[in-house]
Amino acid sequence: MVDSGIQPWLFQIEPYEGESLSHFLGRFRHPNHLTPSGLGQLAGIGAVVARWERFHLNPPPSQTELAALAKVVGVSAERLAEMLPPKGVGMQWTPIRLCGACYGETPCHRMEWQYKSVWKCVKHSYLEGNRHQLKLVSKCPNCEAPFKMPALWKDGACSRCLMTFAEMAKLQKAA
Amino acid sequence: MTQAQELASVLGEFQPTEAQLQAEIDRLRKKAIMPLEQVSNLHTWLDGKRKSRQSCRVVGESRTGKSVACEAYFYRNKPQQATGKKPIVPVVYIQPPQKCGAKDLFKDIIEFLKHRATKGTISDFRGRALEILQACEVEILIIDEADRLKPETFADVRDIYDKLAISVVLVGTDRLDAVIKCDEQVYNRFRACHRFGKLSGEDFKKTVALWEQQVLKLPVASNLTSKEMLRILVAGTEGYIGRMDEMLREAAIRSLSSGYKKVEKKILEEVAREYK
Repeated sequence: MVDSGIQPWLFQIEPYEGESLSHFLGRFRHPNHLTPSGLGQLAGIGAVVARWERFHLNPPPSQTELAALAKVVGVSAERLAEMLPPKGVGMQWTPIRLCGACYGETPCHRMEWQYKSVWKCVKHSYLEGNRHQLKLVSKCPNCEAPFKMPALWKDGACSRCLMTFAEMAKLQKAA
Repeated sequence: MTQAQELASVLGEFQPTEAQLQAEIDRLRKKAIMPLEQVSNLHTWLDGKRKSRQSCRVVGESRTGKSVACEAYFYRNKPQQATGKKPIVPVVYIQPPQKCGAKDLFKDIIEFLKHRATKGTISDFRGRALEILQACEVEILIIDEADRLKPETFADVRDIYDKLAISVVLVGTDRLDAVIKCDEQVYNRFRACHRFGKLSGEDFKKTVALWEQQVLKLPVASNLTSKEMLRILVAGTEGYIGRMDEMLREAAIRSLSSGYKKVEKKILEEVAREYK
């Protein structure tokens, strides 16, 4: 058998600014054909990945777990910690919410959309120059299907009616 | 006492070999790749196919050095990889297992390229192998012992060539030719053929001389290119380079073990008789 001299590797993914851990893990797993448990096994952290992807963050990921995961995904443990809600910030893991206008600019689920205190988009207003901001959507404004967890957002569209998240910006209401 | 133990006690214990002798024997056991003309010819031909992204076959009888030559081609085009990142692998060389199906073929490719996801169903493997081949910027895929592939697996080999437009090289004996000719879809894609032949005449003599100087490197010259020694070698090897390598190494090790400093004629004859 020829020794190729190659070190074992996985496709590396660059995280987006403000991206949630669930969305990042999904994006990492997909091109690498890994299941949540497969990723957990590679990192040696067991079955926690599937829980984190569903935003079940109690108990929160430990430093050791994040360091082990960081080695596999090729992103520093500190950067992974930034994808989690800061200490003391209340979070609701369901329903999954999003701002279509934000998604159109950066195709990722932002962690802040799941904070209890956040219900409107801080970046986008209803009409340009309007003081009213856009309300986050918690279900598809077209077919009312709830959103899947961000780790499963492969196509960036509603899983039922296939309306893209970016198109949903037009149907978002003013706060 | 068993019969074997009695026999061993009559013959006496083997004398432990000296460290120096052992070191020489160890050296002779190691694989060595020599810059033979037919190997460089093959490499030039493969380079041409790689540049034009054409698929082809390398056919030759067993023990003519096809595998070593193809391995050497891989080593001449080593992969490049930054730590933890995807590698750039211009040449992939695999040797599929017996009765190789599509899953084994794709798994071999993924394992050669050392991607860490090696679990899944056949369709998972198929898609993944193609993605990984593309990501690693593979230019030529060499499948050695290609006659081990099941007939239906050739359709997948064809797909790799068609979908990725990389050069696919099938290496094997005449048995490979027979298998390929059964399917015109495969045969039409792998028409170009390079024959890897036996050594004869002056080529054989040159190779023996090279082996004596570069592989055996014994303390005293064995004069293997003399008429008598060559006659023994030709009769024993029939021009097969693999057999010549085995015979010369064996004869050298036996000669050293018997206290000689070069390959002795009688020992070479003894080894040659075993190969007849």
